[in-house]
Amino acid sequence: MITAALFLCFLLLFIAGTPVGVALGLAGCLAIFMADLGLMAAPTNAYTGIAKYPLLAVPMFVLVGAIFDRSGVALRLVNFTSAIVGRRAGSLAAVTVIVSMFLGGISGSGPANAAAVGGAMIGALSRAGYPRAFSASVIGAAAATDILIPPSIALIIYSVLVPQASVPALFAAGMIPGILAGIALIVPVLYVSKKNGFGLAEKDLPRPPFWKSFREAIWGLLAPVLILGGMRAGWFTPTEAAVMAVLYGLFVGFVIYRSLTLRDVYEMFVEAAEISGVILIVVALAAIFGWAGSTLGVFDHAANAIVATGGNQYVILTLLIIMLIVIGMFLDGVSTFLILLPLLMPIANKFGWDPVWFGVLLTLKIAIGQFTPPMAVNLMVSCRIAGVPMESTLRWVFPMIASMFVVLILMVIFPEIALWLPRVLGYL
Amino acid sequence: MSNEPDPLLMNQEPPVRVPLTFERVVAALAMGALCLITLGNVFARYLTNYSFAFTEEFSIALMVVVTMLGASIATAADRNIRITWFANMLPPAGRRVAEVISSLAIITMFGLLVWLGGRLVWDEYRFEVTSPGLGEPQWVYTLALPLLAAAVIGRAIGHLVRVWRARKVPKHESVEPI
Amino acid sequence: QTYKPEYKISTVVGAPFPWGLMAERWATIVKDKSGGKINMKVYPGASLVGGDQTKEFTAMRQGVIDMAVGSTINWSPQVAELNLFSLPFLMPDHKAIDAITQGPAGKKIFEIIGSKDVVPLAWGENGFREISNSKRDVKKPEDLKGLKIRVVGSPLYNETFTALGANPTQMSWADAQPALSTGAVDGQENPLTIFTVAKLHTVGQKHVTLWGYVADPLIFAVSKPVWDTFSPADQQILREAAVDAAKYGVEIARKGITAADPSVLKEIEGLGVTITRLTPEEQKAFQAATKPVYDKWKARIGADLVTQAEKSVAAR
Ligand code: NA
Ligand code: NA
Repeated sequence: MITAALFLCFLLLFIAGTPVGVALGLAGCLAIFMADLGLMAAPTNAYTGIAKYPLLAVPMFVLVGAIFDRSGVALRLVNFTSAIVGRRAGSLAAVTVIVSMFLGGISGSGPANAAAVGGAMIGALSRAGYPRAFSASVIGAAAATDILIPPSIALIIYSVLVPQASVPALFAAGMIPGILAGIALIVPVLYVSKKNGFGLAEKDLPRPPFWKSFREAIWGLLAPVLILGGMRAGWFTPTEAAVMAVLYGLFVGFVIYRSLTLRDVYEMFVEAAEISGVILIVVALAAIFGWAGSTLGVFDHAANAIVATGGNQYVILTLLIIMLIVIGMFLDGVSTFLILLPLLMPIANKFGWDPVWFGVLLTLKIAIGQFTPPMAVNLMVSCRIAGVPMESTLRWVFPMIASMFVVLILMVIFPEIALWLPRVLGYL
Repeated sequence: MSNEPDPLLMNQEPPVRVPLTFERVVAALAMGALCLITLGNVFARYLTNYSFAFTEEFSIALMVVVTMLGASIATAADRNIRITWFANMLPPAGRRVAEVISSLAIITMFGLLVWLGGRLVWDEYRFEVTSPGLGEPQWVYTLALPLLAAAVIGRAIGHLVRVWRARKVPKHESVEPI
Repeated sequence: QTYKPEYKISTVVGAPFPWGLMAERWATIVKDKSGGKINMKVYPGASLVGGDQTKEFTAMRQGVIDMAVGSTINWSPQVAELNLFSLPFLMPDHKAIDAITQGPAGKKIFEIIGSKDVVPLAWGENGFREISNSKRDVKKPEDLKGLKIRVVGSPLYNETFTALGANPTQMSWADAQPALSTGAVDGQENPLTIFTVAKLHTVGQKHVTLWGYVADPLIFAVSKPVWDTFSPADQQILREAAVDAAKYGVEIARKGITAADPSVLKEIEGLGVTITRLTPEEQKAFQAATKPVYDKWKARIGADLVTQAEKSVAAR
């Protein structure tokens, strides 16, 4: 009865278009009130839900994304990568994917990556003869590798919800799947470009000079080294790494490229605060829902019921992934984590799935969802920049979705794809 | 580059009567302070023998401030994470009802945070609860929750009034930030 | 009267740690003695307060949590007198802990807790907090100089380690383990049960010193609003069961780490860890170095209470 109230209240508000966090929080409050669990649990859990030190990395990495978006690093990386790859059919599209992956080593969010790469690439791609809808598809799909390649806001939030999986272990575990996902995207991108003769418009133009473009790009190339290397070497925690990246990005933007102004800094601070607020208010209010559900034993019962069906773990996993695909049509990554993890973790524990592997698997699924219409945040950003409607990308994104799904299936069959690196680095 | 509209946050300027200056300036200051404290922490660790680490609780308190102010700005600009896909299938009158329900839900939720969060603050004040890290009065930190929840309520009321006055529900495009 | 179908006990760690085991024992005894009328369930990880154990006491006062087996360190933000147990080198051995908790100081503390809408029932134990690091054996305060030590968040701990010349760093336990493995921090302090279960030797913690600078007694307690709903007979059952479970808890918390039974110590040494045991003289040097902190906090906690505790320790 109370369980039904918890879920019905959430669903009704959610369908009416209430902000996800508010729908979760109110449903939680209603259940707490009906079960007489003490309503003071609401403000306490909302506060402790966000008053957690590891979450501090969220606003910081959002800020890093904004700074590297505006500083012009992406553009220099494009020139440098083009100097290496040359101007064959599909090569500039492949460069887009590589630059996205590289920026993925700096920023922690897919849409931020799509914005940065889209701003730098869309003009160049059009001049080289790629249709704008195709370009928007490539940018949206490539940006999805960002939340796998560390740093990743998605993995930070997963770690806060699943404390057994530490941020460094998750970051290390996301690296190889992220690179594989990028490679998996390059394959259909090159094939489609070859087949349609995309990217040949400027094939006779000279390549950008290697050394000059390298000198300009070096500052961008060093950023992931600073962030990931600094964390690995134990110089700083993930949060501190983000702040060092902020400092570095401001230095590059002000001193080296001279592309930033103080006004920009103010605007970036406000923008990062708003985006962080949008994420963290869901985290805070979902904590009320999570508390109510777990205190009432709702999630445990549901997990027991699912396991008690006696299904093979791969069957259950397949069903979970299908469920995630459906839910991913309507919901973003943060909300997916916050709503489903309390239910999914008991199932994962019962089957003995490694929480680090499971976190990267879920994140890979969310990454695919980021460029799967209709709710596809990365495509939303890249289509906006390209000035094309999202429907026009449908025929291009499909092979990319399929290709990234292959990586997901590989990760289910070979968990070591995720777990090898953190094990070697001593995080597991 | 700053002249172009930001692709992440379209409609930079929400149509508010009460300007967002307060939220924006305080949020930017809090972000700046967060950066400085964390930087100070790193430098103090390597360059001095003085431990700066207990400032962690300032950082956490500032993060709560950033969250609530960010939520307030996002509520004013209608950029919270919400799904209007189902509501958009309704006829115009139904859409308006859904939009009113949504705004009332925001007001109720943050109203609960003002009321219950206020009780939490009062409780911490009365029983002289100190913060775990620095031993400061805890209620000073917790106060951000009910106080800034009131700001969100104000923004939600503003949105409700605009929806009520307008003939049709404004188009919503939420940010999905990760 | 009608009882809830389930009463929730909050703890920070669960079984197989002694902390979780003694909470479970409490629930088992109460269930038996009440004929199944009172059902209690342990929620470890401070999950009832969103993982923030320092909010446990407040939540219990508000009736959000029914019961808890809580740490004096985690409750000290709400009950300043509980800082007594964090005074450096107040309690030289297990007998000293018992002398305080079972003596007039313990009784006084229970009265104070009782005045804050929480009903304390019995004293359990989490154990002495021993220091470990990756750099060197620590025999004298100078050995700590410049070492970056992860400590639990509390101003008193910060001041204690600063007085010893160390560089105290506060971070969550989740952050601490990778920080230890990469060398971002050099050491940590925790009861030895944590050291073994978390396998800290694998993150380079090769030097342990048994210095017993503070001990963390646990408190079995019930929220006052919840307590008032029980009949006097059932209150008696809860109280007696807590005392029995606490006795069992103290026993298992001390198992294997005493001179008479050093099995856990032997096990740790078997992992390639050197264990340094301080002589009373060596311990005095640490005591002297932290004396200013001790005196400052003695006044802050309440000189009467601390003097009472000191007397009990001296007369143990
Ligand atoms: Na990334
Ligand atoms: Na999607």
